[in-house]
Amino acid sequence: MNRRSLFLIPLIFLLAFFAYPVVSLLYLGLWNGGATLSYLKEAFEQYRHVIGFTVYQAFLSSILTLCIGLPGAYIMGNYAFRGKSLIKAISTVPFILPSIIVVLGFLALFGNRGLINHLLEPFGIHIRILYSLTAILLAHAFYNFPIVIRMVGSAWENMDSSYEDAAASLGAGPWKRFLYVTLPLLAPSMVSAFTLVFAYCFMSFAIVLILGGAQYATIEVEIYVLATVLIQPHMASALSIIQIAISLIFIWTYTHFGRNGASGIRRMKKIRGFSPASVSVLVYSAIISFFILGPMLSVVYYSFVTGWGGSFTLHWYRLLFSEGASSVIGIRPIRAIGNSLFFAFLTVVITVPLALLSSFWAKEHGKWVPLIMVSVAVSSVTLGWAYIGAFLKTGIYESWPIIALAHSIIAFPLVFRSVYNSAVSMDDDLRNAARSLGAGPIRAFLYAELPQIRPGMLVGATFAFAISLGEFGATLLLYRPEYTTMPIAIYRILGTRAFGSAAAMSVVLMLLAGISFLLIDRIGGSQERSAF
Amino acid sequence: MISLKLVKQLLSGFAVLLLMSTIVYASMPASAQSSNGDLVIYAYDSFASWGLKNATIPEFEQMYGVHVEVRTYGDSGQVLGKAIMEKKDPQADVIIGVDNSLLQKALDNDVFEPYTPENMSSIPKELDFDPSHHVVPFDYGYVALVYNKSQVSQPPQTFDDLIKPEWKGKIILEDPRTSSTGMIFLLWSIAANDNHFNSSYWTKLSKNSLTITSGWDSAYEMFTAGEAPIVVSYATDPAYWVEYYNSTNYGASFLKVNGKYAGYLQIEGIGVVKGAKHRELAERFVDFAISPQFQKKIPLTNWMFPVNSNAALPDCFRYAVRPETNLTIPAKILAEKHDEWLQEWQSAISSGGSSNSPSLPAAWILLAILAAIFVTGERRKR
Repeated sequence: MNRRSLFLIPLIFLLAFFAYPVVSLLYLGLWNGGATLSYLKEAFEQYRHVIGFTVYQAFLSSILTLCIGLPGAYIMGNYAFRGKSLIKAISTVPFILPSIIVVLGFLALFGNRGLINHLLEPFGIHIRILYSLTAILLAHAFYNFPIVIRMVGSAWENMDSSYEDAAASLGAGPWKRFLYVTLPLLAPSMVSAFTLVFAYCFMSFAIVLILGGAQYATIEVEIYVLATVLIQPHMASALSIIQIAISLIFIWTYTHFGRNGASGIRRMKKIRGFSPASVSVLVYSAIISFFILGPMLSVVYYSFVTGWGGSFTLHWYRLLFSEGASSVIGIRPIRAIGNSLFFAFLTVVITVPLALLSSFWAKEHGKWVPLIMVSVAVSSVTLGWAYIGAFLKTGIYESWPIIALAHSIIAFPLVFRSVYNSAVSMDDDLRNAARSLGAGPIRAFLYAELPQIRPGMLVGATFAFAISLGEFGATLLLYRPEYTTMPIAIYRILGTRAFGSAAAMSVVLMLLAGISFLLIDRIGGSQERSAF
Repeated sequence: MISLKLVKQLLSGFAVLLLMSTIVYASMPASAQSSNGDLVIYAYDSFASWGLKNATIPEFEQMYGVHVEVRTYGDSGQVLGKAIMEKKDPQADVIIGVDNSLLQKALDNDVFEPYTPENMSSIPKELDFDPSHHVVPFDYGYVALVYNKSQVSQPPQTFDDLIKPEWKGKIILEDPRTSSTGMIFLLWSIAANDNHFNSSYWTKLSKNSLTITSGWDSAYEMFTAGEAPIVVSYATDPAYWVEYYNSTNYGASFLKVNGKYAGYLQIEGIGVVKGAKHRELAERFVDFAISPQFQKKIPLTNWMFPVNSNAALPDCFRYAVRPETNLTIPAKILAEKHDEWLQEWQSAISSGGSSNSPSLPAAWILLAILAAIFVTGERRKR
């Protein structure tokens, strides 16, 4: 049997749990006894401000993200200094952090009674940035600037310095060199980073839902309201179609621009002692460390005290195990931790084998790779809504498998990417040699191929685990109380009156996400950069 | 040759998986198997978070020897939304919290089965907001502006006061689409304006407010955490602060319409879901909800007035304020305009809504530029 025909398994999976829901979405949004554009037209009319605002905020967020990330990319691409790997590691943290934690961190840090306002109180200063466009932009920048550092930084790192040297010997000054040599060489990676960040900000949900409020609702939030409150399936679907269409533009731009394979050797300037360069590296590192660690540490702080300046307490953690808090979220909080682990585990078990089988096939059919990954253009809220539309009348609606399936579809593109990268660089001769020496297909796979693909699989597995742990949008539409996950529990607790409880739950979630982050950093190395 | 290292790695990988699944299994059992109760109730968050659930459900469970499962999904609008979505295969038997603002939507979608409880006579006629008894009232109260007296000496007096610069960023509102409190406040503002929705007023109000939350619970949480000194809440709130914190630091006030403090009454109802799997028990629960033993728990947990005139009010309810007049929008107009008002509201408050916002044209120009880059990029590839 041809091994590539095993691709049928992931194919059927994707058709059943991705293509079918999306088709049912298209049907709801474009069909009314016959093909119609009237729902789309109506959605455009009623929600043109929302659509405009969504694009607008994503654009501003991406610009801000670039502004914050580019100095970091410059530092990473040009300097060697002590602690570089630490800064690199810290700057990866937000990417793995569940969005609900980002929200909580921002509330704890910038809230009216947050850490910063308490610290500024003696000076009579009071800042208000929550529930505004500023808050959304800052949170998005915080969440995404590591992408810029990673993508642009690595392009910079691999840029051959001889071009700049040549320009210099021809008399070009530093600015001219930057403008005419460095910038054009960096442009593809900057465009890639920009479009990717744009797509993420465009589809962002938890941050906009909680830090924005109704005035700053985006397409995601409106789909959520249309689907779950107003119960207008056609309008929700029409808006979802608009969401997918706009995302597709950006994701296509991303895949077509990205990946300049050019790699050369770049001299790193060493930084030692006191110099303008070392001071700016230090200042930048300090700023991003504060930016990243500040919100997280504030959450940790609030999880251990009775209130601002209050005494140390383990009360909030004890509540996690008590029956009391269950009245809010429907189950004991500790069970939400179990649920999250359960779904994360299932997501790994589902996605990694599927990604492996797809990779074997895609290795021979490279041009289909974008299609395999097309689900990245579907936001989690849209996917959740598509699942409701497709499975409402079936037995899996409101069951636990539907949540695991949604998580798997959301995680699949990144998992596939990680495994695929390993599979592509795999040396097929080893397997052929093993086969010709008499090893059966399973044995050849285990000893000739698995060791080569394993890093990609492990990174993929960790991504699957982390994405499932943090998933919010689709789960919010699909869960029922007994399947509450940690992000949902945090959101629900936040909706009542217990910041401490939400903070304690967040610390647990952060620890779990942190463990998967460490795994990625350990195993991944250069692997995961290409997985973005 | 099987290498020892590989075996070790495979084994440790397997061990990790095994360990994880054990943990997971240990924490999952009740979730993995369906744990449906003998009676499933959908309710808004504060039914559970403020204690009415724990004060009443165990009693009912004991009375009938059954297990009751209460599921909460945000505020009333979300709860009703869930029920409408599941209409063809109802998961709930009883829904708590459909109020006079949501009634028409519930009736239009045919979510409830009419049921007249035996003890209906103990409810005053004027509270019986659904004569067809698809939904029967179980509590009521006035929506009001609740404020922190240490930060606000004189609360806003009229709807026009709310959009004055002095209150900028100081008021928390709720989204009428998701929150019934927010809906009542919206109706209140419409009733005060001769039953017309004033779009430019709401654009100004939304810009002047701190935020518009999706539910009353989160709005009130922000208010108690000190995010803002004023919140749209209930006229009974001062009683809560007196009872639990012995504090008279919180006031509630109505807004003047034509020189008189006018309020808008919210009546919350309970009903049996059409096609409920446990109809018999559901009806017993509705009986129970308007019985004195349930009703007397309402004031100190749900902080609303009980509908059963036999249920005594606690002493602290002296601090609950009452308006001079009561505004209402006739049911017919409400039914007709309900959806339209919500759409207009959405347009009025969405941040691109005002004409001076740059977001809309900027966004479209940007989108056009990017599409152009995309197209030219495509071409260059070929």
